[in-house]
Amino acid sequence: MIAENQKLVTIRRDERERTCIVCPIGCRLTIDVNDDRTLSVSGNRCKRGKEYAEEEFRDPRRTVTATCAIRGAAVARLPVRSSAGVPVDAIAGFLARVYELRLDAPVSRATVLLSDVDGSGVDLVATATMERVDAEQEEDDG
Amino acid sequence: MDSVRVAIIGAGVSGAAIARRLSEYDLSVALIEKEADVSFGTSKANSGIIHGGFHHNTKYLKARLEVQGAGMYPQLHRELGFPYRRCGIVVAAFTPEEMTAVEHLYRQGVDNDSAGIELCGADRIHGLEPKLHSDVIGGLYAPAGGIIEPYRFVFALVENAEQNGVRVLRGFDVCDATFSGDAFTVTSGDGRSIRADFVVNAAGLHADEVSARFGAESFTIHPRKGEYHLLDRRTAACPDRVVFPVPTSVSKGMLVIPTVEGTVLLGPTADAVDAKDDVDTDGSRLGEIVTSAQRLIPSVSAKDIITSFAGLRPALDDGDFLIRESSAVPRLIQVAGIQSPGLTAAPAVAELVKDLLKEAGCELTERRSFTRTLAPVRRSRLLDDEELHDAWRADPDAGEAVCRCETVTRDEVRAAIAAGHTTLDGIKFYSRAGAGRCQGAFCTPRLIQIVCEETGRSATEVTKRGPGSELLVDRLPGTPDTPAVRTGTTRPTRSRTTPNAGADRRVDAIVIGGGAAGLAAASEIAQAGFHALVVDREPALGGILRQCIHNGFGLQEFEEELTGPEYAERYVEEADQHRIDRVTSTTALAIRGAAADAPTDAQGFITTLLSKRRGVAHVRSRAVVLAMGSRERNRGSIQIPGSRPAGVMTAGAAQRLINIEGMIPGKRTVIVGSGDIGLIMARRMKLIGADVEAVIEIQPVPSGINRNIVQCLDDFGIPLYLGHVVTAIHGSRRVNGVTVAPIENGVPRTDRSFQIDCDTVLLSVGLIPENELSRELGVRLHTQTNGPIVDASLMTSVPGVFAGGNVLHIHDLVDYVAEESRRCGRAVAAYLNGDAATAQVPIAAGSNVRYVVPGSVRVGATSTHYLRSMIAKVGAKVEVTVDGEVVQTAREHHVQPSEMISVEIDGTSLQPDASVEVSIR
Repeated sequence: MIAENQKLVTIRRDERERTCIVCPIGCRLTIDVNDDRTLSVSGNRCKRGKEYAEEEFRDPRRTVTATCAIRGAAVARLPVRSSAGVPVDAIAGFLARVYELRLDAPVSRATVLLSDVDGSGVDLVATATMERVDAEQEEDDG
Repeated sequence: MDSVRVAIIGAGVSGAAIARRLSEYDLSVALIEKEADVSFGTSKANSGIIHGGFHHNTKYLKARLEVQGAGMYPQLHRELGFPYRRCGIVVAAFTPEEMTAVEHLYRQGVDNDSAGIELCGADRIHGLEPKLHSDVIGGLYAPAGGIIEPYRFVFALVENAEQNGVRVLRGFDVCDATFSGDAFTVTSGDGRSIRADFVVNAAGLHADEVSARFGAESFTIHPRKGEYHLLDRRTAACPDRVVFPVPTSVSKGMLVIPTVEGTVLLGPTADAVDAKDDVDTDGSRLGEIVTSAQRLIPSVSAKDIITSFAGLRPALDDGDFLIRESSAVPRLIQVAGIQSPGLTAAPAVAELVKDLLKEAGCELTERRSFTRTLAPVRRSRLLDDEELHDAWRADPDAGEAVCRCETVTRDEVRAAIAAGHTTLDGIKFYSRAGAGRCQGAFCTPRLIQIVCEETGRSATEVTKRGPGSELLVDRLPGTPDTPAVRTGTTRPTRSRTTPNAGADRRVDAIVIGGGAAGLAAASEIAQAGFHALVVDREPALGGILRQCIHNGFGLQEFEEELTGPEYAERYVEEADQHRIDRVTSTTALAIRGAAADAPTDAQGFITTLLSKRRGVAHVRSRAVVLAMGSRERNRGSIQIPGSRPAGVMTAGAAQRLINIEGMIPGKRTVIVGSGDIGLIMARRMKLIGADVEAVIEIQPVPSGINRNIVQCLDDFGIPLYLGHVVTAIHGSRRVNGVTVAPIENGVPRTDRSFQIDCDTVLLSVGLIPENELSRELGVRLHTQTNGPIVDASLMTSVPGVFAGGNVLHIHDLVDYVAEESRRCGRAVAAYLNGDAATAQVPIAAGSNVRYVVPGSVRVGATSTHYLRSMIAKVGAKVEVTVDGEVVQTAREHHVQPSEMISVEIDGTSLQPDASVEVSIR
């Protein structure tokens, strides 16, 4: 099911209307491409809005968070994240790699699980520490 | 093919009572039920009343059986131990005309031999039921009436019948019946067959269809719907007795019913419907129920509703029961039209059917070894500490609280499964797990896991109420088949032989909850040199952050963007550095203050803890920090009408199922509410390969922050319907869609409603501070925040009890939770040091301010306060006035209700009698 629906994980990127997320006001930004391929941004109340719009237009990226299958830990899933923003067009491929992984406890937080995923320069990193849970071992000692 | 002497079709209360009665004889009996469990039809959704014998005229069979049946309950209760209380019934009259009608009922009751029935004047009736409306001028009292839990009664009957040899066939849908060689052959849709010499048709709503399958007489069952609200146990409106209005020509009216579990039932309505599976609730009818209940008992409040449901009465044209041998098919006994008072009459119906079978030629010889009594079902919630500890010694699972609202322990859930109840509804009816105020948001993932462990099923096979109502649709890649992977935590430990008396401990401060709030407070307490103990119900510290795997946390506090688990681990590591004591997998059952006259070394608080490792243990502390966080508002809180299928859950429950358990709860989702949790879950559903059809928000503006609107919805092209409301949920077993209507002038425009197909509805409709422990401790709560009222040092109305984080008021950022809780921890340390309390001045919430926390400012100091705006505005001002004069103005770039505002209030030159107000302009 995941594989058949990966196509749905396509982030829109060609619209010219954006909502600025730099601050809570949420200016409605309009982006126009000039003849010299520079961008004109309107609707922003401050210069941070313009920077945001340009970045979103030229190279939109998102931090990706997900979980990986893990054996031998107290729970079945290890939370993970991308070490930096993943280009939006590469997110589906990035997730596919995440879901292929089968890890074994223990894993420490900040461990690089995959490096330079598909040549993107972005790593996959564990965001939690998971001890190995053996039978008859109890978790607390209060 | 199996062969029995008597087959009973339908395992509702009639069929179950008949089966149990017949099990007293030397006879082979089969009890056949088409649903996944017994009592899943009319018997699961009704008023649960043992009637008083005054509502019906003696000319009706049902009147005679009602009185006879009611008289049999006390003995059945002694034998089978189901919950039953003979609390009596009052009928309340408001006018002289109504009193005339009441006198009529009284005479009917006398004719029916209703024991102890009396007429009451105003003084008598208000004495019997003090919560009645003051306008009530008199009425009727029937002391023989009472209340039971109908499904628990059916379960007890069936269990006892099974003990005495009755075979129960669940999921057996009679689709064919033939007669040959002087026996009936009854065949189910799945091909199973059974032969029987006699058949009892107790098929409830479907009795007419079953009669037709046997070629017997034709009659029509008309389903008549009754809708109910269920109120939380903590409602102020729980009456001592069942309260009826004066009946009308069509119905007994809508009642206020105290249940044996301490909750309150309001209803029922009475509406003829076409379909025998139409148990949808209707928004307007649900409103009427509250109004009419408030007429009887004014303290009824819609705020206490935890769920709403509907049941169907199987009515015949003449309104009476039909109980006789079929005129067309000998040896077929018809038991049809068993509507109210069918529950009351059930034992008498069984008696009558036994006689009819005998007349029809079924010889009845009493068994030599009839087991008349059933071992009582243990209820952890009703045990005192010592009894619960003993239960844990016998079975360590009694130390694991699975359902926290109802304090249901794991052994109770196992007992339900062992008794044949393997659906979540069946487990709920048997054990009450999931029946409380959170309606399963907390325990559903745990219950699924226990069903898997006990039955060997995979998680995707576990249902709400039988095939078609599966709770989960798939697993994430790599998640094992059954969720039972925690080998280390499910086995008992040796320490259960340790006597409890020695387990009592003494600490300076106990911190209830090991999320961000509890850990931040505990770290400050430890840093000041005091001994803090953190208690958490989960196996790992970190609280809800552990399931919030997304990024966006910590920008304020750490100035970097962390995910929830990373943020949690920073706090756990800080707690480790301070060597803070902690007990995990442990539930705090109660906190109580020591007696005021206790010796100095026994003063403070005693907290009762329950764990699988230690059973019941007590911790004595000088101070308590409430850091329990919050729970999600659910469907009952916002009252979405419609059906009650699998696939409706809170966003947080879905988040846990996905991120911790690795399950996929649905493939096509509609999200109700645009709060941040809902938006985050919209993106999460997309990233695990599911569709998100829409987010529906009742307000004209989104509740979540812009970044989440953009990155969770816009990025994926998910439509956000602002100013829209879900007016109905559809689907009988699993959700198949919702109806959505736009809001205009504050009301839904049903003429412009539309439908969205989906298999999952996630609710993200707000959080409620989790204050059950606080309430029982006597802490006063704030009507706006639903959290404790605290002074400038975050101390509650009970000296020595402090609160911080979401238990106090709902925060939008965990950084604020941590900041506030650090302040709380420092205040606890000052309290433990015996620092003298300084004078404080209350702060009033002025224009456009919903609340200010803490609601007092210390004289001679500057303090931090959080407030919530009621308005959205760019370029706002936060003004502090003292005695009407503006003394402080802070400019806010932008305010909106969903974002908390932090202000420093300077109290250095305050007079102790000053009047302080904070406003937003």
